[in-house]
Amino acid sequence: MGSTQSPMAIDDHGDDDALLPSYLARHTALGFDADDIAALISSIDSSEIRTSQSSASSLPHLPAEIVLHVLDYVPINYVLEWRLVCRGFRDAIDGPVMYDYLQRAELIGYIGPHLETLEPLSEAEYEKLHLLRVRFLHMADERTWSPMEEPRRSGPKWACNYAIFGNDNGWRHDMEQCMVPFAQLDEAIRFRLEPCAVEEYYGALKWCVRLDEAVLDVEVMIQARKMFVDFVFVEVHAYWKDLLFGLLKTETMLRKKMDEKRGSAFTYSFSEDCLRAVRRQRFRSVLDPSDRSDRQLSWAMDLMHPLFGKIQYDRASEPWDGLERAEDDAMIILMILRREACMNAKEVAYLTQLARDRAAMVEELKAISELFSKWKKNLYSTKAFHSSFMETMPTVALNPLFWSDEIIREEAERVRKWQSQKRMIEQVVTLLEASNEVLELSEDAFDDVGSEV
Amino acid sequence: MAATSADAKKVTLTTSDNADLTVEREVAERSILIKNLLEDIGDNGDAIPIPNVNEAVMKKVLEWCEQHRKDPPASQDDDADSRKKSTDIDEWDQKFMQVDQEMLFEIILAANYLDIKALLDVGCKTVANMIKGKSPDEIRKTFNIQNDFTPEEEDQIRRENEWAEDR
Repeated sequence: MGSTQSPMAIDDHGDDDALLPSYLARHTALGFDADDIAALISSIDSSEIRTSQSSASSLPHLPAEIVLHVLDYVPINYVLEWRLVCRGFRDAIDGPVMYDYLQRAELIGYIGPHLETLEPLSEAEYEKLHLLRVRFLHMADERTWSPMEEPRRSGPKWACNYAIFGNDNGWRHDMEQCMVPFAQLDEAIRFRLEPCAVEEYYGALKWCVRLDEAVLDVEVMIQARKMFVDFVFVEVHAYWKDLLFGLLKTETMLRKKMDEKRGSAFTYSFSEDCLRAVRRQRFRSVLDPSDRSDRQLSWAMDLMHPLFGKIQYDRASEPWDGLERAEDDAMIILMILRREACMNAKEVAYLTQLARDRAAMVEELKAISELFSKWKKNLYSTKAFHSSFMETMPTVALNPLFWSDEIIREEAERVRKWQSQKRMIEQVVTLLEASNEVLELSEDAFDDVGSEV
Repeated sequence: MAATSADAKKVTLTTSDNADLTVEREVAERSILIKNLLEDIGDNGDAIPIPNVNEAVMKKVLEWCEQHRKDPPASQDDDADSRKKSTDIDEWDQKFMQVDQEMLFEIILAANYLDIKALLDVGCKTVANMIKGKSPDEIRKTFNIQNDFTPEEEDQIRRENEWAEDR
């Protein structure tokens, strides 16, 4: 076996780091070296039974480095229970496995529904701005606004408390491109995304975290105390371990809820009911029963739409139904994000392309329909007829992730038909344009030609 | 690029139980161990001894290599992406991995020894998925691991794993 002697670890680049400037070293330093991995492996090794007392099991023995590799692939809603197996597992999950999660995690800030302060944004602008996605950039030791100067070698990188997330898809740039005055927009969005600002309605979605197929709110306590947003650099500083641990716990809770409720009636959809139930439970849990306003909130939460098929007798009227509206809005975003998270890159690319093709089709049809009504007007010299094919086309959300499977099927069929008739369409356009050109000649166009009739 | 005739060249592998298996070189070279070996010693037609893998397992491994012979080598990016989801195993691999646990472990060990990273990954994913929901005790049994926690520590971890009000 000899796994402790030759662990399958990354080479120790400790010496090389010194040769690199710090801004490069930050990216090459993995934050852990062979020693850290070796320590974990020996820890697992020591928990493995060597003696013949284990002969009850006829299974071949997997060396520790392979077992560690298996740990990387345990689904995130199960992994917490694996911490109970042995010290080695616990240390590995709390260290390198979590660090690995951090690399693929994404924080998503939601600027709220397209209403009120954000009203001046056009639909397309809102679509671009409504989600601010940030990904892990680097670690920071304490809450500082500058990257960690010198990667300290006193311990593995995952010992740092803060992780810094940044945005690389030009969100800030999109914001500057909007027609709305920047200062006004900036203030509105800042107000919405400030993690510790109190929401108008409890339970409104502000920041969520995505890891693999899970997307959930960042826990209330972490938003309030352990997360900071820098709006100038569009960076988020977060106490990363608590952040991810919270996600793992709640996601595990959600999995158990789904097991428990399997086959039960539902109000919205099975998975949505479970998610709502878990979300409510989390939001309720941080309320302080000795606080008057918290008690009121807890009471108000009792009035929300019951889940799992129970009948709601009374819906609170405005403004008392704020909690419910906040939840409905949050669930739209969360369900969409969860749906997106379950798709692989290929499926997302397909949907994006479909939406783009459809937009192109709509543009083209619009142009043709205008051309056609112009032609009719020219021909009959009456007011424009308002019959266009556009009316038969349903309006769909800009973001294709909002489309149901049925809509996707319909739209794919529509786009396919349009694409297959491209040549025909081109010919019709040429014909219409030519006819319009002739029809639009003024009546006296030929008057000065000078011919004698 | 080597000529096609060279690609179709065969190599012979001798397994731990002294069986000779002849396969195309391209297939065998899915194993980085064999590839490096062939490059180092040159292909002189001698059988390559694979002392850690028996015939049954080797056949299974070669079946996988045959199926994946044209796969592009995994790049760094692919690697990051493939780790994203543990449930993402392609259909053929899923069927291929429907073997008993002993065989599964043997395949993983062979993939590790022969240095076939993609097969090792698929094997580890399969194991993770197969036993993800088992109790800690069952997981320990699977990996021959001893419980080295005191009951107090175990309680402590259980507490850490759940939100306080759930219990």
